[in-house]
Amino acid sequence: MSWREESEAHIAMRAELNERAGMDPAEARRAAERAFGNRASIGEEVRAVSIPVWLEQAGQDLRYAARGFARSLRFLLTAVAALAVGIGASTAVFSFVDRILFRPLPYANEHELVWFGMTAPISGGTEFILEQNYSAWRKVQTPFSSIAVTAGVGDCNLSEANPVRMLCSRVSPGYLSVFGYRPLAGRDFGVEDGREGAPPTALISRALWTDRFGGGDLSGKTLDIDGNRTAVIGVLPENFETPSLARVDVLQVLQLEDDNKPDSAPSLLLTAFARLRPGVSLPEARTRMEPLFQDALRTIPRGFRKEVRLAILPLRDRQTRDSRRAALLLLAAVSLVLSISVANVANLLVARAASRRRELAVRAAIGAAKIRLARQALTESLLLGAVGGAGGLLFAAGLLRLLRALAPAGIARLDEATIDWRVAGFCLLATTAASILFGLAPAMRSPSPEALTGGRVAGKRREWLRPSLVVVQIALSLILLCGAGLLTLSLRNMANAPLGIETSSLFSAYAQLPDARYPHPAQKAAFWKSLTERLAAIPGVEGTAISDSLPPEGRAGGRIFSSIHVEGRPRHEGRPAGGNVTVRQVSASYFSMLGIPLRQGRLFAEGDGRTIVLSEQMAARMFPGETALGQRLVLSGEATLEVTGIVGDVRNGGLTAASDPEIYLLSNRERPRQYVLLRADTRVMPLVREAFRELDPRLTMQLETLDDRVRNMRTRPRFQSMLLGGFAVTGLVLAAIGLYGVMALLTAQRTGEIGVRMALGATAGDISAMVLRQAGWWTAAGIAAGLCGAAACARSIEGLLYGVKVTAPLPLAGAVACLTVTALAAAFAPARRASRVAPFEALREL
Amino acid sequence: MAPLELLILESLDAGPNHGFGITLRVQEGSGGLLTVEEGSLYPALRRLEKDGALTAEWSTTAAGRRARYYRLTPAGRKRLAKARDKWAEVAKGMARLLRFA
Repeated sequence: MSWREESEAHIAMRAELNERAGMDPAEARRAAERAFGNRASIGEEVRAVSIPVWLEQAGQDLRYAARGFARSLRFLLTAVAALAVGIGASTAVFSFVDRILFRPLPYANEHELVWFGMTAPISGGTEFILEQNYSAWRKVQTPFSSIAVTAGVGDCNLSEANPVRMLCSRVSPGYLSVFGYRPLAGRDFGVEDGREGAPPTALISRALWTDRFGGGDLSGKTLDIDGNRTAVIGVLPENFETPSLARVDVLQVLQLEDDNKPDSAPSLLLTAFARLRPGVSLPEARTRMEPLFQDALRTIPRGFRKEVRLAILPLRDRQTRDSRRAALLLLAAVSLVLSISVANVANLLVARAASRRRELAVRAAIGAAKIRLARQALTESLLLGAVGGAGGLLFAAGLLRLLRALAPAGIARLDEATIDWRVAGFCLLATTAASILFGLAPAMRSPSPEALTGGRVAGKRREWLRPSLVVVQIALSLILLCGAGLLTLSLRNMANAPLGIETSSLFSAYAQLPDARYPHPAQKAAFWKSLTERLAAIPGVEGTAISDSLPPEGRAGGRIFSSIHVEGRPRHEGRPAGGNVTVRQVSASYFSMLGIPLRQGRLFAEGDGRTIVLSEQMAARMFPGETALGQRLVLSGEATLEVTGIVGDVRNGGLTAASDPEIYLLSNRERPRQYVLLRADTRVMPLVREAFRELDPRLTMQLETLDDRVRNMRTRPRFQSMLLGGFAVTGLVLAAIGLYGVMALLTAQRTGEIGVRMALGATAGDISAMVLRQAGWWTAAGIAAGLCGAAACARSIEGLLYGVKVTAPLPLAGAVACLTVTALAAAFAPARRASRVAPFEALREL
Repeated sequence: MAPLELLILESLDAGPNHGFGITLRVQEGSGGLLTVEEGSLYPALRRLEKDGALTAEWSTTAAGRRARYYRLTPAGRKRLAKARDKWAEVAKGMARLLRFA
């Protein structure tokens, strides 16, 4: 711009002068332009002068670096691959983990929020409070500015023309305000809504609002939830999420505000949240709640009391508790991979510098300043970092997509995970810093004049940096491999562990009868009875059974072991108290359907009353050293039951936890939620659905094979071991690249020495052995270091393992063997090349 | 020190001027013996500017035209003084050389 203006002014002024000298205007202008010359090319020259010196030199450096890389393409590709894998994997995994562990919660002043309640073994580590605790504590507690409770999230049906299954949660009126939310539209629950007998009200999700009501006015709008006409009073804010991260479509008000409710009334199990008063610390809150907790303990059965604890946890800690260990494991694995790739790049750069000693010496000799050489090295490092970083980001994007696709459902907010630029920046910085460090160091060293000869300088000190980098890589890979081996073995154990049941060609159909339409137990029983009859009549259905829960789950119907006692004997007589007992209400055909073997006595017969069947574990624990048959048990609050049979154990603590003793009661079919088991071919599935529809078109049900149920429970462990396995393989490949690179280069540098050895009578075999021996020593050193590292990391992985000890020899041996083979394979090519050195030519190089 | 730069600095010693003005001054000052080519003038001006010998700013000529005016800086004056001394020596040497040639 300025050049055009300046040159134009110049030409115009000369043209004016020409005109004054008597030329006509056009001629004057032409003459002036001719006199000036080529404006464009002068302009270019002018601009070239304006470019600062450093930029010009940077351009030179960059061109030189690019040419250098283009010449040694293999170096470039290896280094970029190592960088890309390291940066990409770390970035993707961190972005992934960040969503789980460190993302900001959508709650105002989240640090004030706590999750509190009582815990007991029977609750499986989940905190709960009882309805009466909430009523009592709410008024007298001091550490919290507000408290809210929820009865958790469960299925509900919008039973209108088209029944839709939704996720509903009942919450106390203050729930939204505890978390600092305001409704997007309409109003929040008020205290009146929470009074017993008030008309039912609900808040709905934004999506449901748009879907059902077109996002319009809510006044007078209602939804039919499980048969109850419920007024929709407000819309949940867009960023609403439940503290348990469960998805929810509808919040219904929990009506607890009833002062006249008798203490003996059945009590709901609630989950409680609270906001600490400003300035109240967690320990202080715990101290202040302790007297209230001690009070509450009195209402709890004596045998149970010892096992109950008060828990007040920061909301974030509680929320991430389940995924924390897996997330940290991932982070650890990926930082190992990042370290390996940094070591790799460092190694490659050092190797490259060694092979360029002569070039650097020449440049120094013809007058390149040291600072200029250093800048050249810096440029190369930065270029490498930039290309590797770009590759890394691409890799991260791909990996993240893969992780999202493979991750089991229920990992919090995973679909929101995107590349985290802070982490990408950090990884880029770490690797670039490493490449600068290792790229710059050799350039800063004064090149010795001898390097100009290109020959080897006699008496040079031994190389130590590269071998130690290789040793570090091998050690880190070994740690990764051990971890992956342990997890894989654990997964295999989990898959092979006997469940105690037959799952093949079995289906379960699960449904829940809404109280609104089936108020009486008899109605429920009638429904389940006619349903099973209909299902049994379908051709191809070989049998049906009913149960209120299915193995390998079972915690839901748990009881405390010490609450059960033998009739006529004092409680806890010589038995260790504590622990849970799984209770299932099943139909008589349940055992034969699932293939649970009868060990002693007899199974239920339909119409049996007051009988009970025990698992072997239960019988052994309740009646050690005596026969259980014919004994009479008292379950708290229920009639005495006679033990008629003992059956085989089944897994009931999920796939990973230890199984509890189990007792079976004959189902009276009055429960609203039931699993109907069917032995049949998949082809009858539509008929099963049809049977449900005929009986109750407004009911929703879940139909799945038992095999699928079990398989779904394994997704999370499979995901974990797959990830760690992936990283272990990545680490192994990187370490192999590192070892190969170093061996190849060192061997090339020793060509002369090898020539001498051969001239003195060493055979090709001797030379190969020599090279392999060196690689072997490094590998051994790496393995030794890695085993120490693995031992140090063992504790962190312990909790993720099933049926494997961290000290199990098999995965360790496998990892060591795998690494040894890979390392020797990497060293094999250089060893072969060394053995083919022609002595005569090699000697000439000396 | 190239003679061109000496000519530029010398002509600017009389006061700030634009590129065209510099060519005129050199031509007039040398009695028409010396001319400055535009193709080398402007790159030289930029170099001197970058070295800090000159500053430049847009201003208006007497005829009301916008032009870029160059002005000597103190560093430029020092450089001019040195260039004059050096040129005097060169000229002296040249004169002797030519006389004995």
